Amino acid sequence: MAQILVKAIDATHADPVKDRRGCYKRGMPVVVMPDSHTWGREEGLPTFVIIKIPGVSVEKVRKYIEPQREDVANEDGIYPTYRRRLWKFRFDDMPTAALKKLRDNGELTIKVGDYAGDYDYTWKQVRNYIRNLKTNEDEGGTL
Amino acid sequence: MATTVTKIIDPDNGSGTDYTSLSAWEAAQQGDLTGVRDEIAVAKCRCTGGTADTTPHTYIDGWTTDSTRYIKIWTDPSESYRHSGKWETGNKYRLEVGTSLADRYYAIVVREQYTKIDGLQIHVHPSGSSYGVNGITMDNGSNYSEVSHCIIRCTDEAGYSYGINGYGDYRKLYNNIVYDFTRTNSCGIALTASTPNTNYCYNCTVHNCAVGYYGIDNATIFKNCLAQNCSNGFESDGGLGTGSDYNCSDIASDAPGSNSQTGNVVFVDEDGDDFHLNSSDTVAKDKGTDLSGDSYLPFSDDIDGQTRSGTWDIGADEVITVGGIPPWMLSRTRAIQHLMVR
Repeated sequence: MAQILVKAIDATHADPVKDRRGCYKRGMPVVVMPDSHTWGREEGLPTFVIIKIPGVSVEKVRKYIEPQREDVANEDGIYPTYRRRLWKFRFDDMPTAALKKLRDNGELTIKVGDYAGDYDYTWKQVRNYIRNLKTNEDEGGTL
Repeated sequence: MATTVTKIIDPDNGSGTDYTSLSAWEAAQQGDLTGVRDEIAVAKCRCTGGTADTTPHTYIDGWTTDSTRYIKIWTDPSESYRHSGKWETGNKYRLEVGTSLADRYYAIVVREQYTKIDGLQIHVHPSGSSYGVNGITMDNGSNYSEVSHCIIRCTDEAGYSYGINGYGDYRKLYNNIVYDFTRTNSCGIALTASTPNTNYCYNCTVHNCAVGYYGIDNATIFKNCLAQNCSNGFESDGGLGTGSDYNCSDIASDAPGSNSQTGNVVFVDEDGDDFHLNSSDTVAKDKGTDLSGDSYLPFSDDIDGQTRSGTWDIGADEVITVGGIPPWMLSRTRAIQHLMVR
């Protein structure tokens, strides 16, 4: 079971390259932790929200904290970071009720598979609001 | 005068924890420290329950800093969460980065100037990955940054890797221990610069790496640096920094400088990765130079935070005798006590 800590507000930098490459924007996942993890006192609103996905391993959602890489490797064979994160939750396009819950409670619980506990939305509903910033397409995969 | 804003990082979420990972702290705090914040941003790392910080890719990027409004990531030696000069678990804060991602990955990447990293333990272990790993990368933009009193090690390399590497000017490394970056072309400490002689690497210990120290085009001045059990202790492309001296290697004609040493150093427990100098050593002990008045990087302690005195030792550790009596002359009990107070 995984939890994703997601940035809820934009960081900005006057240099557009650093702004893109370095700054976390609203909706970008920051870290993933197991369900048992308890968060620090500043890991919540107003800076962060938490997306809980019971029953899914940390390894399965770790891809959401990958940076977006340059398409071309440098002379050392390394693909430098182009953007701080490849994926972004499109919070502001979510249904009003979901957005309200995030604003009020700072978290959403997502049902995947045969999870039988309380939840707010299913993965199938939410994945349409997770955008791959390189392809500009929303997540279509399963967990 | 800038305000120091200290946040507590503790993976165990003990009392007073602000963030449970260094990555979350960086994401929350990144910004312009020189503007209205007028701030020194400090991450004080703890480990109250024995859990390592395992989040990969802590990039220090997207900030604005200067010489008086800077970033400091450290373990406070007045608390109990800093190592005692050798790798430790328990309640010692450590970054352990090992889960495979889709490309070369890093424990920490510094892309901001005036970033200070002090007293961290970093273990990179990319099992299952086909890529190399870096402990601390001081990337382009990391000018005027410092790394000190850190222990960085590697296991399960899949590609060539670095303990500390990067490109930039005026970086300062001292009192660090790096070991086990063994794969071909891997390196303990490798710094390049746009301006010659603007990086300073003093009193570091590198053990069991393919290359101990690497410099390009006179980028880095090495002083009091110790390389042992490396395939090549000191290597350069275009030369090491002017004035590099008082270094030590176990390979003949390897350590740069007319006052440098060649030989096998005696550590407290080499097989156990305790690279404190044994007081019986005669190769590195009392063979360094006093850098307390160095014009570029003055300091006077060792990796344990103990004050160096007399003729300095080469490497991260300074042998401190108890009441002038070396440990080998003490009883077994006193000798153990000596090791405990190091």
